[in-house]
Amino acid sequence: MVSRKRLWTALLILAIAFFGSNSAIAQDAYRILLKVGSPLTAILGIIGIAVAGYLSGKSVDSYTGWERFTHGAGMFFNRKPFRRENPTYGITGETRRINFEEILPSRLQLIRSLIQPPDGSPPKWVPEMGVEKLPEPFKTFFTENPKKYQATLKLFPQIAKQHANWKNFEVQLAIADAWSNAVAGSFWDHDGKMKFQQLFPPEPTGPPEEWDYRGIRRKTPMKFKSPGHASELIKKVTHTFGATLVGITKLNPNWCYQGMLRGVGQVQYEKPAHWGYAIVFATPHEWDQLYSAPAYSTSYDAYSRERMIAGRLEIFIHELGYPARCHVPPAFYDVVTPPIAIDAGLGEVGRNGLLITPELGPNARLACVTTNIPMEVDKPIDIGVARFCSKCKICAVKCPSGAISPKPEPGIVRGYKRWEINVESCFHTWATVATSHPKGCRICLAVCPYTRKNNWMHMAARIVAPRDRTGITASILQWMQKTFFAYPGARDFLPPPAGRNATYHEPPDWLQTDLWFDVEKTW
Amino acid sequence: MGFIYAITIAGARYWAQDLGLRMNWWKWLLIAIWYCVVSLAFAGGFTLIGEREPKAGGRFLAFMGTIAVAFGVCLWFVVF
Repeated sequence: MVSRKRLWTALLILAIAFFGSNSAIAQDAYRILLKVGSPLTAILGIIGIAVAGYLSGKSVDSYTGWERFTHGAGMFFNRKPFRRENPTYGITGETRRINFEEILPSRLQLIRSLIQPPDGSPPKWVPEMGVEKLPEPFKTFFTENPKKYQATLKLFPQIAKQHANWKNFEVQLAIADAWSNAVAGSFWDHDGKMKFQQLFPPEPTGPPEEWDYRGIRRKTPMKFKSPGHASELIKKVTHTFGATLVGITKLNPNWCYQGMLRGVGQVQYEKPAHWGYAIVFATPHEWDQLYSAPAYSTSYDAYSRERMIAGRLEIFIHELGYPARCHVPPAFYDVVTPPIAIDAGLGEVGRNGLLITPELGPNARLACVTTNIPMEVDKPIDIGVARFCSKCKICAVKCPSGAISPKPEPGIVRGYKRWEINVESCFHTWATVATSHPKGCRICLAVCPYTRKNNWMHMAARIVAPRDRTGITASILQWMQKTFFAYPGARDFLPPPAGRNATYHEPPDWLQTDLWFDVEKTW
Repeated sequence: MGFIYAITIAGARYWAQDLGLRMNWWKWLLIAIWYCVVSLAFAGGFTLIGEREPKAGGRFLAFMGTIAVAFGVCLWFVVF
């Protein structure tokens, strides 16, 4: 059925065409009409494109990973032209695994458990007792790294100070803190304590050779038609579980932590034989809250999503008859996930020490599942992150703690080429910003030029910049980023008196307490 | 949008005839590029404003607008 409006439009067009070709008067009218209409429509076109641009910028559907469809094709970057045989982190010398004691949260957890034993017994160690009385491997580690010893001990009074300072912000940041605690529900209870028996996915309580095989009900594993079929199915299923990006690689033994194995304890171990492959996946934080880092933001939302995906994938693989172990945030890993993601072609390492993906930038939280399903693996990519980061330095300049190296070229860490991060300084900021407890700061994620939405503008930059090997496009984009965009100063992100609790973007309305609650706004 | 652009293009031909401009393909191409630059300025500026980056949007608009004006002035001398 033709609508009346369409009928009149068709008649009008026919009339214009008829008179335009048959009558001199009508031809003049036609000419005048077009002459008057032309500038008007030119202006209308520009207004239309401005409105379309505004709506595209505003649309929450352009937040990658939070779009309408879990695996909408529009959000993905075509990695094919950028596939390389070797990852861009580059091996420059003798490499080694990361020791358990090198990880700051492990150190903090251990020292805390010595000072304040969880069972309420008297302290087993206090700082006055000195390094010599610490248990191994921490005694050796701190003896060899005295600066790290001092820096680690300094964090405890800083955490206490942050806790005391929280009363100044608990009204202003009430929604932000409640949201953060709510999204941490998969690994924390209401009282803010981890209850290992309640976790999903559950923590291993046995060695990989037992724990990773638990729940397998098939006598023999389901045989895939080919490794390609296995990869495709696993990726599709992982997307349905909520992953934004998924990659598969063979697990490099160097990415297994040394000195600690979940379910076993402190032990020197070699990579278990059935950890042949790693399925690594990424999800972003909710974007609006990320942009309002640090005070209004949290890491726990993406952590929880990653945990759920990993737990489901582990069960799915068990159901197919294969062993699987998930490695999940916030600190339940036997493997280091960022280099695994780089090997699997999800992205490259950035100056801020984080995985930078084309779609999400560094707003990509990771988890992985190790298994022995024979799968087709992905190749690493080179989209020019190292070249970009060598000039950009926005994260280094805006980091309140100065933890990110400002050097133009990456250094060598454990034999691999990457920029160094001072993790103690980084954590010091975690324990300084206006949050109820140290839960990250994410400023280096929020200010990174790669952390951008999936709309025409940023998609154009994503497509053009990595293809331009001269680097001119990247230089122009960096210049625009630094010239046009308004960033707070590094110290401004801190709470008063040092700063002003600044955020990169204004917090979204749903995190602003005064818009929803009957409270007096004093901030 | 297609209909709007069709009218713009059709009308531009009559403007050129009435103003006595000697147009050729590369002059039309330059005009089309200029119009794209103007459109890009507004599209980019307002996209950034939509992204809650009003300062970046304003600065982008001012920068690209300046380019568009400078380009437009040069084009004026080329075409007229």
